[in-house]
Amino acid sequence: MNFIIAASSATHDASTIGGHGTFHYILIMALMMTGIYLILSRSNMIKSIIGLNLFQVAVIMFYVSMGKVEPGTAPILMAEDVPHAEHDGHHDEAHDADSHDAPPAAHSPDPKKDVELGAHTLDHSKKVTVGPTTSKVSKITYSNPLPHVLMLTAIVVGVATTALALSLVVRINEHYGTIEEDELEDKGVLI
Amino acid sequence: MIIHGITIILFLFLYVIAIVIGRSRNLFAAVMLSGIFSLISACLFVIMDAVDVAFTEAAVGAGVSTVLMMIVLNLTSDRESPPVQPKVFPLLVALLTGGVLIYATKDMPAFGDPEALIHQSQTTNHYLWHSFEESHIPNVVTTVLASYRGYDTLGETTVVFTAAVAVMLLLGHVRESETPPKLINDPIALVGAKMLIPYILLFALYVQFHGDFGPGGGFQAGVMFAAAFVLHGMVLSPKHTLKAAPALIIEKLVALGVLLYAAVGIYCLFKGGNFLEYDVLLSHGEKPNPHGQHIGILLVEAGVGLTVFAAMLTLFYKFALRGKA
Amino acid sequence: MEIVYSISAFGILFSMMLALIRAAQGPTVFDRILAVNMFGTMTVLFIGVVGYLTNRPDFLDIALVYALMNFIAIIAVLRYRDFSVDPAEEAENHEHS
Repeated sequence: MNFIIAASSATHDASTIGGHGTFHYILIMALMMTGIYLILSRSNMIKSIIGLNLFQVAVIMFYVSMGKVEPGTAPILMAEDVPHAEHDGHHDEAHDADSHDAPPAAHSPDPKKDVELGAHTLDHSKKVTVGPTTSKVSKITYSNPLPHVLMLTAIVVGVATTALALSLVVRINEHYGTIEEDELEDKGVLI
Repeated sequence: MIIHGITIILFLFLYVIAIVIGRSRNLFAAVMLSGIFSLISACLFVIMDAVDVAFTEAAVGAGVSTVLMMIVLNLTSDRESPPVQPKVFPLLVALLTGGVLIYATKDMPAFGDPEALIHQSQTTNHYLWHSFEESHIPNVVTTVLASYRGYDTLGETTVVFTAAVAVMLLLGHVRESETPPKLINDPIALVGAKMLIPYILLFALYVQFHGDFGPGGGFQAGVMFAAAFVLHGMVLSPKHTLKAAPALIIEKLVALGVLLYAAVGIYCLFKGGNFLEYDVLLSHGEKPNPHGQHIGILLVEAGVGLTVFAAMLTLFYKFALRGKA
Repeated sequence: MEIVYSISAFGILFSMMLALIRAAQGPTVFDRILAVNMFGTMTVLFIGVVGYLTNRPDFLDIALVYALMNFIAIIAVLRYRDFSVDPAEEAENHEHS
């Protein structure tokens, strides 16, 4: 139910804010199109690869921009949201002991319940989903980490595939003596 | 509001660079400008709160990509032949696609809207508000990357491995060049690089292990490690670097990283958990087991870093040792 | 304090623009290399300012990566570019296009 309500309110917001709302996406789409134009219009293969890189950056930016939450900050928890910051998980056993002296806001103050954290956690997440990414517990809003994770790996895979394309270019150049598609066409290599 | 203005100016820079890249017939200039392009886009990622993405884009786009492209330009030609006739069809395709996509953005939620559907997802909220309890790692991106979405990352690491193998197959037999590449006898570059390399390696280690608490992680650290060796290879010669890091060993490390990653997953299976379920590592039976998660994430990130480092260095070797045709 | 950071951010953006013009126009290789190197330095500063502007200055290590990668890219350009070609020829070619 929550999802439907959220969706309708989101579209409503976009229409009331008007051009400002989806302005960023339009900028990104235009950038994407310069990439596509470069890939299609150039006969030089290295130029095409550069175009492909521009296109890739634009797509990544599109994903990342969808993950942005307006008053938000980077999804690395700040000290306020880190209950055991001083321990950083050095001693596992310390975890139970510590919740005695400093019960974090998100936990139940009862140390005995700490063992049943799993069930408690599940219960808690239901409460959180009513609102946006801000938790009722924390004052800080974080941007959505999920697009960042997906795009981070995409960048590294992107450079690996770029290197593959470049090695094909090197081999084509060694074999035919040119990296221009037009000249390859004239030689009857490309159909 | 100020951030909004900065964003628009940065986007304008990106357009200018894209247009200049398109118009310039000098490929050397185009490659350098594409380096700037990725630096600016990395700035935009920082503004959009994606610090880990910015980290990776700066290391990969501005660093490794530029180096590889420069080597390839050196091997082929750095001048684009003038176009035969202006092509209308690509412009038409780009305009049409762009028009459709821009029309589609009208239905999207506003930029930064906290009510947007993507932020309502239960998984996202779980990642944000419960990952610390479950793994004791403040950087949510690292936790999601290595633990919650460990399958994805294993796949991506395998893709990097596969790409490295494909490049090895394509450029496998080393063609000795008739004229050996000239050694730069520039004392400034040499002394500067010698001073920098140990610190780059140290910084790479910091990025690898501090990735749990700040921006960084295996992918970025792998690229940084490779960058140190690439710098060595560029300032002296790739053959000198081969003595320090023999290609045979580096090529095996590419596979070893993926194996380490998969082995952690299989070890979890033996301990009675699911594949890549780190909760069973060092476990006494309790369910949210931050210590196990920590160890698992550390090992997996090490595997990722190893593969990325070895793959990037192998790419550099294969391109740099190739003789001119 | 925010006003100071905003002014310096826009100042850096302005000098980025100047460097960009030089990198795009050329006319010689050396102009471009210097402009690109300068642009990289600007981005390092820019990341620092944006960190304070958005109240998360703990991401300064990103700026370190920028500086490092900028250095490596410039070394790559100097290493793999054949400078035996007369820079004047490039200027002439540029006018052609």
